[in-house]
Amino acid sequence: MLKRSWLVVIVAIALSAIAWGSAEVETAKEVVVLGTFGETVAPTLNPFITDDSASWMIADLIFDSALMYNERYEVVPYVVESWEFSEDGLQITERVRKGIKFTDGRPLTAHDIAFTFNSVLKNPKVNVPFRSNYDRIIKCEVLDDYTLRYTAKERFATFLISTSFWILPKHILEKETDINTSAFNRNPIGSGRYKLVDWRAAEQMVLTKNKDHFMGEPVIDTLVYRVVPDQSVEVAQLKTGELDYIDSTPFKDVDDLAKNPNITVTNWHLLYYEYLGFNHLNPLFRDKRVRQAIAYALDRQSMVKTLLKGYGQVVNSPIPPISWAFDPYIGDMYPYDVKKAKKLLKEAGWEDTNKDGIIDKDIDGDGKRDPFKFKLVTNAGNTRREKVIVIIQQYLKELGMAVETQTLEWSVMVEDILNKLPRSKDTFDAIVLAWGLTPDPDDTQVYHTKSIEDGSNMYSYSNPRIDELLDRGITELDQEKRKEIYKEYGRFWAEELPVVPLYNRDEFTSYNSKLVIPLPIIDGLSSNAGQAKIEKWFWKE
Amino acid sequence: MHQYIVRRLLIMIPTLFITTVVSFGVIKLAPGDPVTMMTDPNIRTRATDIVQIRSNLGLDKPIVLQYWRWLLRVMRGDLGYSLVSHRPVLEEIGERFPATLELIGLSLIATVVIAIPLGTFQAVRKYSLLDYVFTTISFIGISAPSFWVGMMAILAFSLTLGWLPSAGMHGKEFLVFHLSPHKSILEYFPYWVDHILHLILPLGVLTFIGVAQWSRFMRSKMLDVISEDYIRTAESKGLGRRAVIMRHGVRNALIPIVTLMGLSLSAVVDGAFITETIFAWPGLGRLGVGAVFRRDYPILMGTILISAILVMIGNLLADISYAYLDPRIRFEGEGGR
Repeated sequence: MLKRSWLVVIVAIALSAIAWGSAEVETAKEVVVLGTFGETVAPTLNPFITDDSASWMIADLIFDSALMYNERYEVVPYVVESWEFSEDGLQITERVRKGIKFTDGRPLTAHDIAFTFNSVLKNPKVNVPFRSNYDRIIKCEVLDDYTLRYTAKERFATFLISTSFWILPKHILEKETDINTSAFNRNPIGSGRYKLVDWRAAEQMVLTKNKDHFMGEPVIDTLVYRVVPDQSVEVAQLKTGELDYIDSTPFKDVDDLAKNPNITVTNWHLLYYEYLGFNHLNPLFRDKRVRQAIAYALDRQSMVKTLLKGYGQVVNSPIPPISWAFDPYIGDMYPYDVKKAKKLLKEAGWEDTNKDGIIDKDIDGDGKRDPFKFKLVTNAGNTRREKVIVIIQQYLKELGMAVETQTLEWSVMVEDILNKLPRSKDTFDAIVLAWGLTPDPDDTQVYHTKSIEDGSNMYSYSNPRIDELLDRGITELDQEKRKEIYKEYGRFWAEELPVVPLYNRDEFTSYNSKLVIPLPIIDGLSSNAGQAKIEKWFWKE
Repeated sequence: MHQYIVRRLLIMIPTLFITTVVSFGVIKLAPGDPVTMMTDPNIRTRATDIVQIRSNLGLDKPIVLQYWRWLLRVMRGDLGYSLVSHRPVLEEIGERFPATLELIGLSLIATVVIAIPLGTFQAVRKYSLLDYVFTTISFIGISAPSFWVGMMAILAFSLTLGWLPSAGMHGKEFLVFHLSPHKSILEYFPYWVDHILHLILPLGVLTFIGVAQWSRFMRSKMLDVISEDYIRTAESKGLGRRAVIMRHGVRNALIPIVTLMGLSLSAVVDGAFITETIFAWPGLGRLGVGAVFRRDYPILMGTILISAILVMIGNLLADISYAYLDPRIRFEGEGGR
């Protein structure tokens, strides 16, 4: 029995060698196999009920969104071909392009867009985690089959781009009783560049091109997204040719892959920064000279060199360099300078009076001097951040600060720090985390006083000047005037340092050298930015 | 015998009930819920939205009520919907079960078929050169972590030698094979060959680790048995060496092995998870572990239920096979002992 089964295997191996040689040539041209690292390609294909960026990326292939960004992150027409603001800036009338069809043949009209907005995005029964982004828009009405009107409750600069979201087909979803669990989320029909043909959750997802797409058909016929649960296996599969493309190449593999003649590696800046944030309810961090001293004491340049292998930039402002609102004036504002840091601390009244190696000052007014001691946390599992907190601990020891480090599981961090209301001095002292940025510089959600209790201002940072600049920035509709406001905001912010920004980082994508991907990839919001123009990819002869 | 089996099956019901109560409680003790896991500060989930989503999902109800609802649905054969993918749990499990069954089933068979003769051989040829060689190899298999063995196998057989594919169930050229309508037997053949090639590495690694452990057990049990009086009796009554070993030795050594195997079925399922991860095998183990991290209770409860049933069936089979291996054991209803 044993002998016979081995024989089968040997014969099989021999035969397959023949089969292999012939099959590869034939399929290579029309198919691109992309690796996705994780448990599944995407948890769901309804982009509105998830926070998963892979779901959004695939959904972006299957559905069309109303408007697009160009390379300079300006809003350009797409499904919506033109728009017009009302005098008071509280209404936008949009014209929908005619002749766009869903892949089941039904036309895409203003009714579908209004349905998506009113019955999905704004419907409390549908689990949309990012609904707050649409708070300012109160109404979406259909004027005729190809005209829509949105009404906002106040003037705001991101009104237009907020009217852009993926368009779901009304004729299919209006019959559904529960959109959350609808079978549509498994078998979506859209009007996008590709359509879903097969999906096995733990294994792969197959998409074929939409030959009737209104912007013309994509070049590559079939996209296969394969699930690879282990990142080193993903890299190995790219080397063996089993995968053609991978996102988020680990830094440790970049050099090795770049040497491989069959593989092309390319990188771009992520719209993102990692930071050291403080709980401003803790009197330790109330003085901006202390925060500046901390910024001077961290050799962020060498952190980029060691932690990111040089693939990143030191950041001094929350506005990314590629943004139209970026102010080059800020420059290298906090170079590594321990002397200056110590001087600032001394000015702020921090001194080591009892010679125990830890600086002290009476911060609570009880007549006793308190030591500069605090706990620095980050999320467990992110190996880079786990290193960062220890490095920061070392640098701050130079200043005589006693830092205790701790890693927390993500869920604990969300419950006990990020979502913990009311904000309190005791929830945390300092934290290392990151912000992903949107192309618009509006920071209200993060640093505005009103976002302390309803928003992401977990630092309880409050500064009337920052609030005022943010309010002016979001309500001003003139781009040039906004530019000036955000330049001022950036400068003031860098001076104030609500958090100490550390660096942004690059993202690497690696692919089969025979595959042609239009370059450069523009600096992206997510790690999938390399796939933004997938309809233009093609195989070299 | 039948009566015994029926009774054992009936006892499974309260056992399963207790298992689910305990699991549900333990899962709920863990910090965070799926909605917490959804709150990425970068997408600006607002506190009121979190409350709304929690209530949509029924997560705001007291835990006892949540369990009760879950139980009622399970009794109707409905395991509910995943809180992350929003798909029916049965569909998710059904999609992955065959892959796990194929991998674990084949590796269990291969392990038994190899480990038992190997352990017996080592016991009979105690301290011979081959015994030392196999012992050394076994120790490597027992002490090396399975993910390391897996990575080394990929490094050797697929990256360096290029003989075998590194991961997945199908090769690049067969990824869309099942979608093409025209298929003759001849076309299926290379497809299956390709699948078998993909199976070799994960199956090999699982089997290697299994054989390493079970051959050690078998060797030591066999050594115990060989020194028993009845073996000496059998030898002295003039039975051939082969007959003594096979008829009296192996059969007796197998009894404790079968018990251990029945009990360790769950360990095999656990072990397959790592192998599934390394070799991108789309199985059940990965589903369960992914659900833990995302706090996807319905999926987690579903996988726990399935593996609990598997383990119970494994134990039952072990108990039943005693009857065939050990003539002293007879189950009630068959005339007592």
